[in-house]
Amino acid sequence: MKLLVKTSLYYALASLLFFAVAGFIILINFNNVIDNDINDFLVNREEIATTQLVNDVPLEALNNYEQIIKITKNKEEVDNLIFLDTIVYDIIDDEFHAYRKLNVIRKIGAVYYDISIFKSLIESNLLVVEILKPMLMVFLGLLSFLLLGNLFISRGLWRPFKETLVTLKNYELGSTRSIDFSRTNTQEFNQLNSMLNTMIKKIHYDYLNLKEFTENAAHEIQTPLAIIRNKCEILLQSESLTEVELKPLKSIYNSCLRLSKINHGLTLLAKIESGAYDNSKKIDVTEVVRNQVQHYIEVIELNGFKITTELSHPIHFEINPDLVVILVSNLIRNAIKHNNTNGIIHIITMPNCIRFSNSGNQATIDVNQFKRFKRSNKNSLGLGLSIINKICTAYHIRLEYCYENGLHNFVLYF
Amino acid sequence: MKLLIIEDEQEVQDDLIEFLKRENFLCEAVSTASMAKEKVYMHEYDTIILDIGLPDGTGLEVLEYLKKINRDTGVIILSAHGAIDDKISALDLGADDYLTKPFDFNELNARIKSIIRRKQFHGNNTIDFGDIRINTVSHEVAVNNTNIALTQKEYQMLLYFISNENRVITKESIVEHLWGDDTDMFDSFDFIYGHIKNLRKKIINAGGNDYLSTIYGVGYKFQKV
Repeated sequence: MKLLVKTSLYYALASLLFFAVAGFIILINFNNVIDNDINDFLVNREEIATTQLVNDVPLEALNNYEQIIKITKNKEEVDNLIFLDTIVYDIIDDEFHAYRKLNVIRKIGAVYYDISIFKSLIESNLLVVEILKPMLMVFLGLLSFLLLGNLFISRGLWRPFKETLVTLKNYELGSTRSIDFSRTNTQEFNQLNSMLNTMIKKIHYDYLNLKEFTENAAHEIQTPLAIIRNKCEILLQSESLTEVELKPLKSIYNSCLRLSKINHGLTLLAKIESGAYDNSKKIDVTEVVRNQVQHYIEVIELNGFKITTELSHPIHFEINPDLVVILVSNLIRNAIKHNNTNGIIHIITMPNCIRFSNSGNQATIDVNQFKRFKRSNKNSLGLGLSIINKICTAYHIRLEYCYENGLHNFVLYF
Repeated sequence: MKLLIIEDEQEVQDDLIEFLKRENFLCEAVSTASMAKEKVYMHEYDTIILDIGLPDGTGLEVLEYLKKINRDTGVIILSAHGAIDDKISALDLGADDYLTKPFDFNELNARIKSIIRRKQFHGNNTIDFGDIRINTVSHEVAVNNTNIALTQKEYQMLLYFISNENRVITKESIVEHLWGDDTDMFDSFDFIYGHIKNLRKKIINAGGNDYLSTIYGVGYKFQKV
């Protein structure tokens, strides 16, 4: 949920709660005031009626639709005021209306009078509604004002934050473009920006250092490796060595070969990462696949695999000519390395995509396989998939992997 | 045969000299680009082994200089960079071959001999080794004057063996020579036995000697009986 929506929602909820409580209290107060008012009115009317009775006004003249006075034999509860809410049938409107009734027994002279005074509640109910209506309007107005105000103010206040986010999103580690946050007059955001700036500068510096180190290390290792290898070869030529001495020597020799292969792979990865291969050309990838299959056909047959190809669709793609060869050859090598005995390899091109399939035991390759040195088979260096992945990322080629019917499928979408 | 080694790493230079001397080459060695230019200006060499990274310049400069003074010398580039564009520019500048460090001595040996063959034996394209005669242009191999049919790989292997006569050659070295960077494609190098066996059989069947001996646990040696 967006921050703005969130704050607005909280504002709305809080105001709603506040207005509900306030409205309830106001309503109760109003009701009390009106109640008291009506009761006072009834008492007043009753006093007038009693006075009139004392002054011998005839009973008939006193009775009307809001006032019923009867002579009663009930001598108990004299002067006891009873207020009652009741409904009275209105002939004119043909419906029942709410009324407040005051009932009291008065003794005037020797006669007991039962006095009932009525007062319609319609007006007072209308009054409450009339008062609540503008209140509700004021509440709604205030609420929308609050929300809109919050929206506009927040939008303005958070703009620098959004700009920072956009800047961060567009930043690419290792790019020569330096990151540039805009200045704001909000202290916190300035703090955030300056902290991010420091952090990114540090990361950038570390990254460059590490990259330089990797490149240097890879390069500098070649010469000592050459020396080790050549010394091994010189020793291997020696006639006087026994089997006990030859065995570890052979082991050193083999490890040295392996080390130089790993080193070559890592150097290649570092080079792709640093964008050393940037001169792209429009290239028919299908043609590259055809050539590479030709190149590897002997190795494939020597390993006892069967290869089938359907390379009828040309795929034209803008890419560095060396990298596309490395990409395709690594995919084919991968298919060779992770295959069954008597396995099959199938390569098919479709408009804008190529699929490399090969049989294989392992149920599935997880995404970790695309990272360095995750390998399933002890003979591989564990760099092939990583190189494939790097090249695909660099050229925005979508790489998908799935395992179906005992086949590992790598699909490239150009 | 006179060779010039241009390599700034003393240890590598010493190994190269020792190895190449044993192969009966006359060797001279320098470690800077300026000294290399001086040497190639004054003397003629059959082949130059040139390191790309030199303290006072790059090997490519020396290559350009060679072109300028019009020396028709074979050049093998040694480089710690495996970069393909490096290789292309070196070959464009007239280098005959390119090896990436760390390199195999036997491989270097085979390549030097191949260059010398190309440069020197104008009109004479045959190599004689005992009762084997190889025509390097038509790729025909004859044992006791009867032609034998070899596959491409068997032919390459035979040439490699002959170039490295009397030297121990490891299986890895053979596979690397035949398949280059693709050596890691094979789970084991045992398939090479098959190739070697076939080659041996073809030579013996044609009445040739068995020149190949196995050095247990290490590799092979090709030598005259």
